Amino acid sequence: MKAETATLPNPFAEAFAALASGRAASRYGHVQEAAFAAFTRLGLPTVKEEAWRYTNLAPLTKRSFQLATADGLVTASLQSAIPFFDESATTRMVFVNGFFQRELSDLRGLPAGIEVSCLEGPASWSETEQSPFRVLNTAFLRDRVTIRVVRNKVLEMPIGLFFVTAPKSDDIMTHPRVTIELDEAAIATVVEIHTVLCDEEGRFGTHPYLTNAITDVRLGQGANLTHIKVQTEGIAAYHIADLRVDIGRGAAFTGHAHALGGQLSRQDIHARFLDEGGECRLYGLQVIRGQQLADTHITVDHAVPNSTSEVLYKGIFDEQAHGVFDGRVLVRHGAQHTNATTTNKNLLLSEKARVDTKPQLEIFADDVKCGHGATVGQLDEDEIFYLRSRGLPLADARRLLTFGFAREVSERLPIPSLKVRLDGALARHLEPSHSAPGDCLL
Amino acid sequence: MKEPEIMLEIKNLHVVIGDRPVLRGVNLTVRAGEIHAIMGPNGSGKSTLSKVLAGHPDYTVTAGEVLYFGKNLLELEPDERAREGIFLAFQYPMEIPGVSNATFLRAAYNQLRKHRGEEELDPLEFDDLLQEKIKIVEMDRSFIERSVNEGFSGGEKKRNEILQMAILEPKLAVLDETDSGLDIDALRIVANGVNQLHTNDNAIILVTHYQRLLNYIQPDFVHILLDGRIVKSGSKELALELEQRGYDWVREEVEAKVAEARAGG
Repeated sequence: MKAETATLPNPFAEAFAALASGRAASRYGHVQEAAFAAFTRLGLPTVKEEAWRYTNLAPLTKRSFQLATADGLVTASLQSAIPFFDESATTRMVFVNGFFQRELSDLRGLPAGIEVSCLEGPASWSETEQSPFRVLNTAFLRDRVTIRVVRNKVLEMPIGLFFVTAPKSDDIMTHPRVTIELDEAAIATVVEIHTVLCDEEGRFGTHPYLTNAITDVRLGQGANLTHIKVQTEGIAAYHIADLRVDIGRGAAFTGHAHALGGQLSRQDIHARFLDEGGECRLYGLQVIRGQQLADTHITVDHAVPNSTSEVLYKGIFDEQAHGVFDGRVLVRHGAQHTNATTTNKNLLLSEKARVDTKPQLEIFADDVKCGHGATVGQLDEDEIFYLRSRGLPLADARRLLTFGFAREVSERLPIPSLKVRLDGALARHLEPSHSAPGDCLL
Repeated sequence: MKEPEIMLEIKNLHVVIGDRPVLRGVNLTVRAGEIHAIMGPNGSGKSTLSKVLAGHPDYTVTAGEVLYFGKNLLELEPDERAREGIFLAFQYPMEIPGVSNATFLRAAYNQLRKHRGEEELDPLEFDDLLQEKIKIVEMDRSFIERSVNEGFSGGEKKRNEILQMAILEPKLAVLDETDSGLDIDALRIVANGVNQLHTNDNAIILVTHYQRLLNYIQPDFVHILLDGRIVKSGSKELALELEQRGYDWVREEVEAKVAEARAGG
């Protein structure tokens, strides 16, 4: 197979070259040049790399991804299809095809002390770790979001970030980038929604496109961030995302990740404790079917003593879907009194569905409480019989049990209207007879 | 006086699980308004009979037939049987994490309504019904919002079974060792619930080890199931006799009859 060769061709060179004049005029041009040079040097990861073993990116090289143009993007019907939720009505930012949409955004609900801004171009570029998709993001970055909450400030309403793609043609790409900084004792909730917009017929474009998203979080002492990510990309989309979290002294990060969309989706999460007393809780739900692949790689780095992490990810895989979960907890030398659990539970709804799960513990301290476990199973026949014996038809019994399986994760979602939306999306996604593969999920 | 309608007729029923014969020629007729107790030692086939009536897929009927209101019950799927009015109270009710009791009960009840051509109830309407039915089993409201049977005690699970029965109002209820694992208070509550639900239009089959339950729910008939056959039937006094004498004398009686038949033949 072609994918087994050491390097993959660079499918972005043409697109990058096309932007040369824009870069020449931009004060960030040299940063982007350097980033793309780094990407060219690193290349796309191949299945030879352990972290990409199950996720073959070779299909990307057959596309010719381009940044979208801004013209005539958002028609009224597309606008109404954006899955806004009530709680962020006056605290939201909307991006369509990578362009910030001022008219669709509304930040009136933000109290003083909370800065949310959209900046053009990359941040001053000082990535210590140069991963291919990070430098690629920098190279093509257009509008980026920064959120900063000052000391002791509590944001009651969630900030909604809507990254929507409206693919009128094949091979659009976007490179969303979000930076969230919470100063000492600040509290906030940020929701990232990555989705496709339905066209006038209420269907996804079945166009392939690429989203390459990066979110960087820094939590000061005692800060508390809830980060919710909903991924309902188009059925032919590629979604690659990288979330980095630095957790300060006594700070808490709670991540909720719901992945339903995309032909191929990959989420990396890297959380790191910078000081003692921090907490990191990561809850995730992957629900895919058809030929979809959803891959989550998590690293929780306990570099200091007295920190707590909890990872609970669940996957539901139907038809020929393929799930990948890799959850690594690293307890470094001297990180005493670390409390860490990783749990990954998977439900296979069809004989052809598949999941590769690998929770890992690497412990270099001796006074710690750590646990990890993974399960892969089918629906329980006795439970199905129990429900049927009460009059529920087989399909209803299976659906109810599948929902029940998801609930352990979905019930933790702290935003009621979003939870209702997601439950609906889950129902539609699990019910082939009630939806076509191209229907909008969210 | 006209005899009540025949609900269930089990004729020469033979059932295997895998290759192992479990029921070997069961005959039983149940009419509307009747309560039948089926007693027998462990492994006699009591639970098998209950599960076969409910349509559990692990059991294969190799001979005989089961008629429910004159129609072949065995060709119906488990959920069709339930919608036609058959209810099995499980010996070991399943725990269903993540599905609330209210959601489950409403889903089941609405299937029944749909089957009868009635409008489905929305959550609020259903809640009214639930409020009323929950009194029958003296259950706390909090059980309604909890996941089905998850973390319930043995007694709470059995009460939840009777709550389901109260909502679904079956024509034929099979209670499979509903008394097992119950303390005396829970037994009283469960039995009271069953007695309240029993009418002249429905029938109940109690499958049990012990006579104890029959102090609370009075059967019209007691049948002894032994090695996959009903070998003796009688009135409720038979249960008392079993309680005092155990099953050995029944077994001896059966063996004597077999020997007699052989000698005679």
